[in-house]
Amino acid sequence: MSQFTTFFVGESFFGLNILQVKEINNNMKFTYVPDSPNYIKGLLNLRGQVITIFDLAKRIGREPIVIGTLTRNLILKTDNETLLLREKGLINKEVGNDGIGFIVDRIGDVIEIDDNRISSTPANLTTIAKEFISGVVEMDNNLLILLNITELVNFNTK
Amino acid sequence: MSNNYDSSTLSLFNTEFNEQTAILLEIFTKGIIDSEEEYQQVLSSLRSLVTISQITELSFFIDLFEAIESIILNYKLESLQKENKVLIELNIFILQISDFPINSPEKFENWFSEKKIFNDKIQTILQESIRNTEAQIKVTETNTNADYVDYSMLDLFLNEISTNIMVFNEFLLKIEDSPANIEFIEPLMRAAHSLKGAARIMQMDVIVDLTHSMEDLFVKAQNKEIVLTETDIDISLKAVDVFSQMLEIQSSEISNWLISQNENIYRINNEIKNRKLSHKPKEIVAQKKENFPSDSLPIVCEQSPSEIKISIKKLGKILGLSSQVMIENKWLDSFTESLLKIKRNSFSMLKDFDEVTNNIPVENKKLFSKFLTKVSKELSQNITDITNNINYLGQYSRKMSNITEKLYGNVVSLRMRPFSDLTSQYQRRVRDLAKNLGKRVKIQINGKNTDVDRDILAKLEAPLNHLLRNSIDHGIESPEIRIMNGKSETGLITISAFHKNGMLNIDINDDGNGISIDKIKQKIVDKKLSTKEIIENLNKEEILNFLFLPGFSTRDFVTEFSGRGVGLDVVQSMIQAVNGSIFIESETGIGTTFHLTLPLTLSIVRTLLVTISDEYYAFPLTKIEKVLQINQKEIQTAEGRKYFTFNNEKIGLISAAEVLELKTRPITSGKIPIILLKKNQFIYGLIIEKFIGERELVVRPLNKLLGKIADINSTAILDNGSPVLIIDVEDMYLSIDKKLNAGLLKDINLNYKNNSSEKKRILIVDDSITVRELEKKILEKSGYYAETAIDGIDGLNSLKAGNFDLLISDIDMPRMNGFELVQEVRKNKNYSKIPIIIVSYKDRESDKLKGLEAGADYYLTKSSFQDRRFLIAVEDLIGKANN
Repeated sequence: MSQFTTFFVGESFFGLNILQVKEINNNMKFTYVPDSPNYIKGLLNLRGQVITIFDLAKRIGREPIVIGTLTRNLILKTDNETLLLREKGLINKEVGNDGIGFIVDRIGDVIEIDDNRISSTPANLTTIAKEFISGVVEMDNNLLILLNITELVNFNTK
Repeated sequence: MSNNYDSSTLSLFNTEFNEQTAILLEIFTKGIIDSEEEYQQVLSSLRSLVTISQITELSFFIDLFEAIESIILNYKLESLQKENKVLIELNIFILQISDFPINSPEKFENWFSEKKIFNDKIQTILQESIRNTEAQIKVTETNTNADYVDYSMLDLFLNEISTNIMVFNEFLLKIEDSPANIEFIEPLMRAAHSLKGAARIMQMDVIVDLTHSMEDLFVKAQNKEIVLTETDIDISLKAVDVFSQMLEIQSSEISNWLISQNENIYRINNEIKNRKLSHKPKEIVAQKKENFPSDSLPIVCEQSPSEIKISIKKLGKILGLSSQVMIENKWLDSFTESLLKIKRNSFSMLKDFDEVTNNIPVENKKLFSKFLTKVSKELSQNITDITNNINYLGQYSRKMSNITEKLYGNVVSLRMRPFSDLTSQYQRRVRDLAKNLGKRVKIQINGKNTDVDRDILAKLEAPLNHLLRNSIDHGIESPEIRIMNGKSETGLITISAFHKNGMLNIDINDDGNGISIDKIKQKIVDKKLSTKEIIENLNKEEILNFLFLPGFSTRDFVTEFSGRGVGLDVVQSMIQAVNGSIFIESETGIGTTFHLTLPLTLSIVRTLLVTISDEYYAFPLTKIEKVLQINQKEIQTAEGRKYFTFNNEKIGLISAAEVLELKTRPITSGKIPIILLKKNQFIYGLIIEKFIGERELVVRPLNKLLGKIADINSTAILDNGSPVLIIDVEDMYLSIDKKLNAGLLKDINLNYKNNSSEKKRILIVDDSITVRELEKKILEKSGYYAETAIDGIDGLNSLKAGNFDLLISDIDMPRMNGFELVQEVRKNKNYSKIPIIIVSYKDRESDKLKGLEAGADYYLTKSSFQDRRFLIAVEDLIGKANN
C-alpha cells in the first residue's frame, strides 16, 4: 500500500507518491528565468530556499497552465530529504538536491493504492511521452497516471 | 662545572616536582594501572616533569623522566593493567629521588653524582621494555596482516603533525635568522617532543627515532651546548618534509609508506645524530638563565579545541534561514502600517460619533446620555490601546531587525578564515625558492588575522604562489647586485592583507629592481602587439598591463620557477574568476607591488539592482565600469548603430532586454539609464529600464537541472522575498558579441522613434487602479500610447521624464491632488502648453469650475467612460490617434 498525492492538469488525473512531496502551496510570485526551457515557470522563494518551478502541462506537451484560484505548486523533496526513504526502499525516484517543484491546475485527494493495482503504461492510452509515466491505475471512472518524476525533471531530454 | 640556577624557576620546579611525583607514586604503588584515564594521567605527569626539568636545565631529571616515559609508553596500557613489576621498580625510583635538595642548589652536583647509578638502572629497564615491545610487535605481525594503525587515532596524529609542521617551519626559520635566540628553540623542542610521544602511541618507531634525535638536537641547542648552524636547520627541515609527506598519504597507505621510506628516514635521522656529534660541546659558560615568565610555560595538556568543523551544506542552510528571518521580519513593518490604519479609522469613527452625539435633540439626549458617554469612552480607550500597541510593536520591530541583521552578519562571518591559513607555509617556501635561486629573501606577512572567505582563500592559493615565485625570481636581485646597488643583501617581500571599502585587498610587494618599462615596450614592438608610435603615448600603467597578455614574459631565459610566459595572464583570469582585479605598480630600482582587490566573500555579492522589462536583475558591482544617465539628444548614429560619446570614447548602445531576449519596450523617458560594461576591447552601454539601488545579496546557485543559463550567474532572494537573478557579466560580453555579429540586436533607438512618432502619448494620473487601467485600455484600443502614474507627484515625475501629448488626471489623490497637479503643470514652462483633461467622481458645478480655473481643458465625470464623451474630448484636444 502506498499513498499518492493526486492532481489535475486539465481533465488528466495524475498521482505522485506522497513521500516524494515536500509541500503544496499557492505562491504564484515567480521570477522569470530568461533562456530557460519554455516549461520553466520561474523561481520561487520557499522560506529562504530558491525553488525552480516548471509547468507540468507544458512539460508534457500541452498548453501552459492558466493561473487561477485553484492553481497550486507541488514542491518536491530534495534527494537529501528523501535519503532515508530511498534507503528503506519506500520510494525510488531522485530529483537532485536543488529545490524543484511544478504547478498543476488543481489538487485532488490523497488516495491509498494497493501496489498490485498499478499496471504498466498501456499503449495508445495517453498522449503523454511514455518515459514520464511510471504506471497507471484504473479508477472507477478515471485513469490515474503515476508520474516518473526523475524523468520529468531531467531537462536535458525534450 | 658550576651551575647558577634561577630561584624562581627552581621554586616552579619544586611545586611541579612535588605535585607530579605524588600523582605517580599514588598510581605506581598499586603496581597496576587501572584505566585509560590513569594511563594518560601518568603520561601527562611525566611529560610535565620532563618539561619542567628542561626549563630548569636539570639534565639528570630530563633523562630520567624521559626514560620513565618511554618505559610506560613501551609497555602500553594492556600490559600495565595486569600487575607489572616494572611499576613497583619505578615506584622505588621515584621514592628515592624525593630527597632532592631542592632548596640548596649548591648540593645539586653532589646529589646528582650520588644518584648517577639511577640512570644506568633505568636504562636497563628501558632496554627491557623495548625488547618487550619488539616481542609484542612481532606477535602482532605474525598473527595478522592487518594494519596496526588505528585510523581514528591516525587522524588525530596527522592533525598533530600538521600543527607541529607549522611550528617547525616558523621557528627553524627564525632560528636561522638569529641563531643565538634561545627563545625560538623552546617551541621546536616542544614540537619534536610532542610528535615523539604521538608517534610512539601510533607505534611508528622510525618517526619516534627521528623526532627523538631532533629533540636531542634542540635540547642541546637550548642548553647552549651547541649552536644550530644552517646545516642543522637544513637537515631538520628535511625531517619536517618527511612529516609533510605523511600528510599527503592516504591513511590506509601510511604503514606501507613508512616501510618504503624507512631507509630515507633512517638516513635523515643519522644525519641529525651525526650533526649532534660533530658539534664540539662548547665550553659551557656559567650564565644566568633568563627568567621564564610563568605564562610562557609550555602547555602539556591538550587544549580544548577553539574551533570545530561544520559542513558547508549545513552552514548554507543556516545562512538561508537567517536571511529568511531577516526577510520575514520586514512583515512587521506592513503590520504596523495596518494597525495605523485601524487607528485612523477609529479616530474618524470617534469624530463621527461625536457629531452624532452633538446633533441629537436635547430632549433625547438625557435618554441616551449614559450610553453615549460609555461608547465614546470605549472608543477613546481603543484608540489609546492601539496607539500603545503600535509603539510597542515599533520598538519590538526595531529590536528584531537589529538582532536579525546581527545574526545574519555573524552567520555570514562563519565562512571566514584568517589570512594566515594561506600564508603559514610561505616562510618556508620563500626560503627554499630563494636558496635554489641563489638569493637571499625574507618574507613579511601583515594582516595574518584578516578575515577571508574560505572559498576565496582556496582560489587565492595558486595566484599568490605564482606572484611569490615571480617576485623572488624576477623581482629580487642577487645578493651581489643588491650590495652593488647599495641595498641590503637580503631582499624583502611583504604580503599585506587588509579590508578596504568593503573589499579584501592583498598587496605583494618586493624591494627588488622593479619592472623595466623600456624592456616591456621593446617586447611589445618585437611581438608586434602594437607600434612604437602607439606605445609612446601610453602611460606606465597601460604599458604594465601588457604583462597580463597570454604568452608575454619579460624574462629572457626560462627557469624552473618562472619565466615560461604562462603566468600573469593565468593569475589575472583566476582573480577575475572570483570577481577580483589586479594591477601592478613598479618603480625602477625600488621594487614592484601587485595589488589584488577581491570581494570579501563569494557568498555575498554587492550588486546594483535594476529592472529590465519590469523584471528585477542584479549586476555585480565589481563588474560594472560606471552607471550613468544620458539624454536622448546625446545619442548619435554611425553605420546604422547607435552610440553616445563619453570621455571622448564612442560607446555603442545595447538594449539589455534584447540581450536577455525579454519583451522590449519603447524607451519613454527622456533620460536613459545606462550601465557601462568594459572589458579589454569590449565597451558597451547597456540600456536598462530603471535603477533600483545597491543591494548586498546572498548568492545561491541556480538549479543544476537547468544547466547553464545564458547571461545568468546565480540567484538570490531580495528583501521583498522574491528571487532575483544575478547577471553573469562575463557571459554577457560573449552573448552581446555573438548577437551583434549575427545581427540579432535591433537598433534600439529606432524603436523609440517609431513608437513615439507613430503614437500619441497620453499620461493617465489616477489613484484607482481600475480607473487607470480602464482609461488605458480605452485609449490604447483607439491607437494611442498611454502611460500611468498613481498620484500627482508620480504624475509630475513621469511628465518631466516623458514626452507627453496629453495629461488626464483624477482629482482626489494622495500626496498631490488633481487641482494641485494642474497648477504645477501650468507653472512649468516646459510643458505648460500640454492639454489636460480632468476626470473625477465629483460632479458638482463648483468642482468643475475649480478644475477649469486651475488650467484644465476639459472636466469630465467618470460616467463619461460609458459613452464616447471621454474619447471625443481626447480627440478634440490632440486629434485622432493616427494622424
